[in-house]
Amino acid sequence: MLLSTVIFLPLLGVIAIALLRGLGASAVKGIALVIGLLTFIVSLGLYTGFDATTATFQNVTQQAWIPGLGTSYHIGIDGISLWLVLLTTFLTPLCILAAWNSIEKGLSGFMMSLLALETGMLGVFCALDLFLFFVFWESMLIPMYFLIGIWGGERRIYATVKFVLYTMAGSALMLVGILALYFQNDNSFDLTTLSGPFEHSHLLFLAFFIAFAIKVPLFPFHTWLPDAHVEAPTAGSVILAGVLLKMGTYGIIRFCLPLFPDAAAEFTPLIVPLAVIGIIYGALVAMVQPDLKKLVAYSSVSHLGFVVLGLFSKNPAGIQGSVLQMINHGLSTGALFLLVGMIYERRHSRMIVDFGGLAKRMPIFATIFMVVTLSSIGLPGLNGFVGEYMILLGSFVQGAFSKIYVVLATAGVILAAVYMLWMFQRVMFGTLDKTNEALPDLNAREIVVMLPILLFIVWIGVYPKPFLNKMEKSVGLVVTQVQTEPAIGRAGERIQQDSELALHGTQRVQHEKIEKEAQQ
Amino acid sequence: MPIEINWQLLMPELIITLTLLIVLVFDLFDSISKAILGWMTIVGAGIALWVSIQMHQAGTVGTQFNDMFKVDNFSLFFNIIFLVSTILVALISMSYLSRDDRKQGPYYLLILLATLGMMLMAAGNELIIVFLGLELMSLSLYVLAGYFRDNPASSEAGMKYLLLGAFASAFFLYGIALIYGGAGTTNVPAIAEAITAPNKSPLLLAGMFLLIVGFGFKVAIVPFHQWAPDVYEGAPTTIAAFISAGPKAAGFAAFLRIFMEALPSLQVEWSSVVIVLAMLTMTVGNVIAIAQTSIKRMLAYSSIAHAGYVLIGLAAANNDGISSAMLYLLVYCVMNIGAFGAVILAKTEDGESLMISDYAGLGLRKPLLAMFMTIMLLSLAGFPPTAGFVGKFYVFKSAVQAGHIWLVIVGAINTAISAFYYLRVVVTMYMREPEEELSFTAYPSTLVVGLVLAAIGVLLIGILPSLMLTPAQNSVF
Amino acid sequence: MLIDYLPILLLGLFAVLFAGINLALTHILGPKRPNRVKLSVYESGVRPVGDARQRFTIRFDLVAMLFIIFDIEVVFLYPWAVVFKKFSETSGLFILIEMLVFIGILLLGYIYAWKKGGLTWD
Repeated sequence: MLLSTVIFLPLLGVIAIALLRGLGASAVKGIALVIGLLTFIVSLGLYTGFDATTATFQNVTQQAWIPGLGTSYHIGIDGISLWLVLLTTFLTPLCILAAWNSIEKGLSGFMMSLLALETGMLGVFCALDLFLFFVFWESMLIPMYFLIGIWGGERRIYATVKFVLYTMAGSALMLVGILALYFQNDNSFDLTTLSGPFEHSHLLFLAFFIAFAIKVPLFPFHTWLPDAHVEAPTAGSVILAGVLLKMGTYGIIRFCLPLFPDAAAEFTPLIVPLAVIGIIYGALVAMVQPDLKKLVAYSSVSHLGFVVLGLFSKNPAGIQGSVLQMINHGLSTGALFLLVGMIYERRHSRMIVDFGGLAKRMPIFATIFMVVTLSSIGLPGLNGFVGEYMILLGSFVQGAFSKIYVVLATAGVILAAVYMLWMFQRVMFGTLDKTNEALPDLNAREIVVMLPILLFIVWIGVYPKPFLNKMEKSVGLVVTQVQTEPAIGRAGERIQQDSELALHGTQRVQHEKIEKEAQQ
Repeated sequence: MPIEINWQLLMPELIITLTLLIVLVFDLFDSISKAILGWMTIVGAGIALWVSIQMHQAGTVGTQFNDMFKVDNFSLFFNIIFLVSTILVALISMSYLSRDDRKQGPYYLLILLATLGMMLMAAGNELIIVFLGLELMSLSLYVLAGYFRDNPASSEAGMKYLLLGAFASAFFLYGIALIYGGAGTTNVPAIAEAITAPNKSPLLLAGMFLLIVGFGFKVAIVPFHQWAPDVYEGAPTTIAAFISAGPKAAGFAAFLRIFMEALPSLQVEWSSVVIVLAMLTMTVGNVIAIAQTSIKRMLAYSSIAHAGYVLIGLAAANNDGISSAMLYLLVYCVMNIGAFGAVILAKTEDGESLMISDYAGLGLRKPLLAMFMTIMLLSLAGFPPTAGFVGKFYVFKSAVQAGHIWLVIVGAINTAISAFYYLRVVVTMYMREPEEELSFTAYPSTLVVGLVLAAIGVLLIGILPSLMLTPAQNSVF
Repeated sequence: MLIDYLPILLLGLFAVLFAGINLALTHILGPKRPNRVKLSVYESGVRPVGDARQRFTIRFDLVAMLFIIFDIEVVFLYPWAVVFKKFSETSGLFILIEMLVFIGILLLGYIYAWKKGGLTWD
């Protein structure tokens, strides 16, 4: 019941706004913000009530919905989806607040889209029924389509149509996969009763994986992302980077890995290079971008490459790192888009060359920007470090793919430092242009938007244990599921040993953190 | 030999006939406002709808007139589809017609007559009855398509429809003749019995293919679809909505009944043909629709593509296939009439807005109209949580069950293609600025009522599909 | 099975060939000495006035159509009359009423056509 409340509370907000939009702009904004905050507060109940000692789904609700189709309203969360739900409910009110003054036309429509989007995203993370999952997965497209298409930049129509068509092309195949699974699952769409091995598991794996890879986006399916990010309004970009991309990686961890372990093992040598290419390519392209938003967009491609790499390491450290990195990316990239949006509202430009020396005029902005930049680079002590470290560690000790990929991926970390810091330098230091002299620093509302994100950036960086604790069991379950197939013979034993080693590595990281905290 | 007639079985048809006669009588008096005829049509169809639903729930089964006329849940479910279409079309017609008051009588008469023909087709347990129903329906529609006889486009539509329709009827009749030659009967169950033996005479096969051609014309399957865009574009918009909805469902009703019940032993032969036709129909319809600039033409090609989705259900040829095709047709009728209704709603003082570019900027200027249009288009594109999604999903599911994975893959890719042109209208409405200010006329209340009903239907079936899914699953003969 | 239809096919072919050959032969063999009188429409009749492609009013169409409709319905009465005796024992009244209803509807249609100006000529 609690989970249903979290999912559908935003939809209630949509209806409320639709009915009350005659009351004026401030009422609409007020309703949206109150609903957003309320959803977040209610969703905190999910965290406090979460039992970290088990990997089973919690807060489960199962209701007959369409018996004729063999589908039911079945929702629940585990240690992985819990964090994505919290990330969603956390970012949405911030987006509403960030869009406070920047929406000129159709404000009520904007807020309705944003809240409807929240319901769609939460549904995707909570659905335990393949049909329900697909319903939320597809219905989430519509509000995002409007967000980019109506309130976006100049090439918004191109961007939004590209976004929708890419996603639909992927989900069309996933639909076929879902239907094929249904008949192998005793005529049921229930995720919890699904257990392999399945016939044609390679094709099924691909049907799901391509849909998710487009969403992630994995190289070479990433071309929609820069367009969508650049054209989307700030709130849209934040949600897109913060949550929507995670739907892809979440899908991989929820469906591709546990359901089709043998296919996953077989495709790993193909996917891991793509992930690494994504890391390097994203970083290199980000480096040459003259546009701040495009730079951040390409950095997303790079960061999500890390997440996919960690997932396919198929050991606890790597996958835990990936899940954590999903949250980290949501926070820091979300924050970067918010900051870019703030400076764009002031200057109406996102070109790096238009700026320079802003640190003098806008000290608060520069400070926050610095912290977020460092978090994105992965500076020890901030959140990005923990995730990336665990992913690299998990990938390195796992034997299924060559260590050279991990070495190359590490190069991506260095490249990230190069493009982020270079960008920071060009924007913040140097000579202050005359046109930029009058730019005001962040106001109270904007600081309120940024502070919660900063809090979590530092918290996860310094003390990630509560985050890792809650996901540990669920990730462990995924690991055992994904390893059931190859764990035959010597190769399997080796993987088992390696993953134990990786688990030790995780604990070591946590110990280090705790020690570091003690020192501080 | 005593004659016994079970009047109860014939209730829906009798009610429609009675309504028809009442409308005819009232049309005789010029002193009576013609607007009342529309309401009579709606009330009559409404009562027939209610009776059909009651009979469907009671599970009424029976044959009449020497086994020629069969009432079962299958025919009753189709009655529901036809009557819902008729009511919606009558609702959207009332404001559309008021400008030439004098001719309204025949308009409603012909709609009722066509509805009666459709009901005969769905209940036909005998090829001759099906043909009779087909002709009754088609002849009424030919006149309706050319209803604006001062308008060259409308006349052209009527003429084209008449010529190609007559052509199709000839094919159909020839098919019946050949099947009679092969099986020695035109009664549906008797045909099935006659050809259970492994005697697949070439006559039967030829008859079967001719039937496919005849139905192909009537329901606009590629490559027999060429008439559809011209007719839809030229015919009055309300009639385009009507032609695209009820008659298509009626054609499929007879198609399903004849092929599943009379020719199951030829399934190997026809299902491969149907699969190829389904793929062709979906792909051609959707791809050509992308290039259209007129909204009526776009909807015409979209309706061709939708016939392809229904064919998937027929190709599956299992129980789920039949009920999914039925559910799809119901959903399709509601959303397509809704889409045409939204086109009528977008009327400027210069006439209808028929170019997609005319819809620029409607999102903020005419939010209600844009909302109706968007709901219908999203449903046509198959986005959840609308009825179109459920319909498509169920059709695909039945085909996967029958093992036609490739058919489903083609269908799913087509869904993505179709999203492109449906969303383009939405893009135009919400994301583009109008080139010139168009002054739109006020909303007529009956039209809005019709659209609200359609929108509620689309969303309700989308969110609680069991409301219509369970009846559809109970309606397999 | 299909071979049974061969005679029909042959008959058809023979008919076509016979007609075609005769026409061709007369065309080839016949002497042709055309003059103005021979080429006129009615060689030994009155002179034609005007053009054969004369437009005539569409009302003929309407009348013809109405005639056909009511004529066909009357034809329906014959088989009814023939079988009436067979049913007259058990349900004669019923099928009599049935026919009266049928004629009643027909009458209504006739009145409709009349009232709507289908029978007026101007």
